[in-house]
Amino acid sequence: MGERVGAPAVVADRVSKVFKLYERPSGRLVEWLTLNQIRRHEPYTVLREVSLEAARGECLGIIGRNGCGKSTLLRILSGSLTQTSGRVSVQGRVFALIELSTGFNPTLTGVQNIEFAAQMLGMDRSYIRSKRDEIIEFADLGRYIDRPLREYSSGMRARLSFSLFAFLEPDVLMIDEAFSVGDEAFQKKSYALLEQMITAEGRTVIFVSHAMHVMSRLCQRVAWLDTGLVRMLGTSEEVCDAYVEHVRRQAGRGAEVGPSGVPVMLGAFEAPTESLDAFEPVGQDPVLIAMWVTDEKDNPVPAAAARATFRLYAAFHFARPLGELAFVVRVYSADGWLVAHGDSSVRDGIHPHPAGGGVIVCRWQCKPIGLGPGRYRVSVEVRPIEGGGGPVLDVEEGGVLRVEGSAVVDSVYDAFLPPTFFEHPDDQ
Amino acid sequence: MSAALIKYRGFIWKRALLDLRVRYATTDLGILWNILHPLALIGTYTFVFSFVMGARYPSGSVPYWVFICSGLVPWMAFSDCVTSGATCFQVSAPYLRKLPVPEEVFIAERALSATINLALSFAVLIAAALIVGQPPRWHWALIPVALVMLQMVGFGFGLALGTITTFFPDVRQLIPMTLRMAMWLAPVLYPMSRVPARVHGIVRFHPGTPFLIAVHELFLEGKLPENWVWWASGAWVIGSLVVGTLVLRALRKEIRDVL
Repeated sequence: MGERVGAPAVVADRVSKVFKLYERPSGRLVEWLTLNQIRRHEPYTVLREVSLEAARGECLGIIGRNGCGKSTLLRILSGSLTQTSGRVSVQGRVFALIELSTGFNPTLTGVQNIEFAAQMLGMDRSYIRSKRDEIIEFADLGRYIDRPLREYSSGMRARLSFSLFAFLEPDVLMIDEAFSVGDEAFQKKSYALLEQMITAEGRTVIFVSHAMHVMSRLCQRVAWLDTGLVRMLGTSEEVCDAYVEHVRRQAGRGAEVGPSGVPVMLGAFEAPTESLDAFEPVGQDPVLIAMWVTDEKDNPVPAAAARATFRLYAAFHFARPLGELAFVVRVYSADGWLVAHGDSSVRDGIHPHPAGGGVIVCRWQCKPIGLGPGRYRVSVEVRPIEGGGGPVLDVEEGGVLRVEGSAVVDSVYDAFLPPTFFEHPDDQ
Repeated sequence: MSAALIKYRGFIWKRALLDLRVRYATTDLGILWNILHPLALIGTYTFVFSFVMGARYPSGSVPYWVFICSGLVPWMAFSDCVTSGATCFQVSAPYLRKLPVPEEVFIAERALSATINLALSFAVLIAAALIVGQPPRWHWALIPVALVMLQMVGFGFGLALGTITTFFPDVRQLIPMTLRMAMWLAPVLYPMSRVPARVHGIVRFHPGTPFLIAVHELFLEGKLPENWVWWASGAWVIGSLVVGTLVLRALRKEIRDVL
């Protein structure tokens, strides 16, 4: 409103974020009582002097590995976290879609949640009412819109939250990849809507993603964050190319290095030839030691068959206990769309908590209607259930999954059943 | 701070009402539990005080259970307000982590939810008192003033304790214990007139005391409380809101860092 055209809608000026890690809560009390003369915390720097800006009508992409500070930056820009130093300015109404079902209540129906979540975002009632029909139509949930949210699959929740956030006319919309928009058809529709919001309506979008293809199509400029620093800021082509090149180089001959420098013995999918229990830890923990594909009867196969049930196995070695964990697999199509995912933390999933010193095998079973023929990139993530912290293991290029067949099958976002777990103790 | 509460008022109401409905949503008796819980306590205390110990309310015609209710119902609402305010940031962490909604909105929602519950319970109590033959009095119109002021103290405590427990989980353990002891130190289950004169001074400085005296006198005796009761009530309201606001303001920046 009354802004100079071209004035940046979002400015981050040398923004740093340092968390204070205390060994015990009482450490903070000691610091207070001694007026900070005694230090009891370890500073943990997540962002170091990050400067960037996004103009009106611009889409700024942010890439980087998990743990590089992307989410912290989004939270600071959207106002749900305060920076330690530096200046942030955001013009107009800002929404951040940081996670699936942000602000939803599982006992309310889809329609009730629209009103509930919108009020939480600070919208008033009459405004929400005027937008409700558009939101419902775009989310396209059929009769589920009147069912309680706990009956929704994660894909359906994603559709509802994206529709809500997009139709409430934000001046600045921030979208984290954790929010990946339902099935392929819905994603395409959503990206078309985003493009329209950016180019025709002059809104600003900040987009965090691993999907390079989408990133380079949607964003004019991209910032690459690495351990809290802006490593590169430029046009989406140059930054995405550099990033992909960097990831490839790090990946080397089928060994990928995760945020904590975790090597992975993976290329294409192959069943492990040696016993998993013979795995010798190489210092990093946890580590993904193998991924492979089998048919319904657990026979390893080089490629899955479309229209048939297949299973995706991943074996992890844990040297020490890390509490209850969630295991997530994400499947991307060759052109970068997230087409399917399986998350052990949703619904009635079981949460394994490895005791350490052993191998855990995770099995995701794909429904026969799940994936169409083609080549897919598979990523795996392991993160703690509690605390909302970053992943303990994040393998972006887990391998290439081939699905063969002539049947035309549309990919289904909720293709995978909740995973099953097996333990392989060391002392077997 | 009040600007945030006004901006999010619709949301606060909605969440508070939802909280009452959801609290027992998976049970068969549902919202009835809101009534059954206090009823069980009232029954127990009446049995102990009235039958076992033979206590009588000083001004003749008031049944002892009516007296117990008029103290216990407000105290339980206050106690609920403080306890749920104190754990509020942990409970609301999923929202606080992702949305820029100000912290006090969640405390206010808890306080409002406890207050709605209080209004419902007290309405039931008034109806019951009329049924057993208590004469209606115009003084009853002032009861909501005392109750709302009491809940404002609870809100102030919630602001301070909610902030502090975020950083010091030990404090969370301390709160239910302190509240339970505090109940016996205020004229909740016994009338002020039964308190020996030499400890009057101590009991008077209890945050609950002025409000409980006000409710007892307005409700049971149909008389206006003395001036010191109103002054003390006002002082507790202002004092707790000021302290609560200052504590939250001082530590607000760091709350979301530790959630």
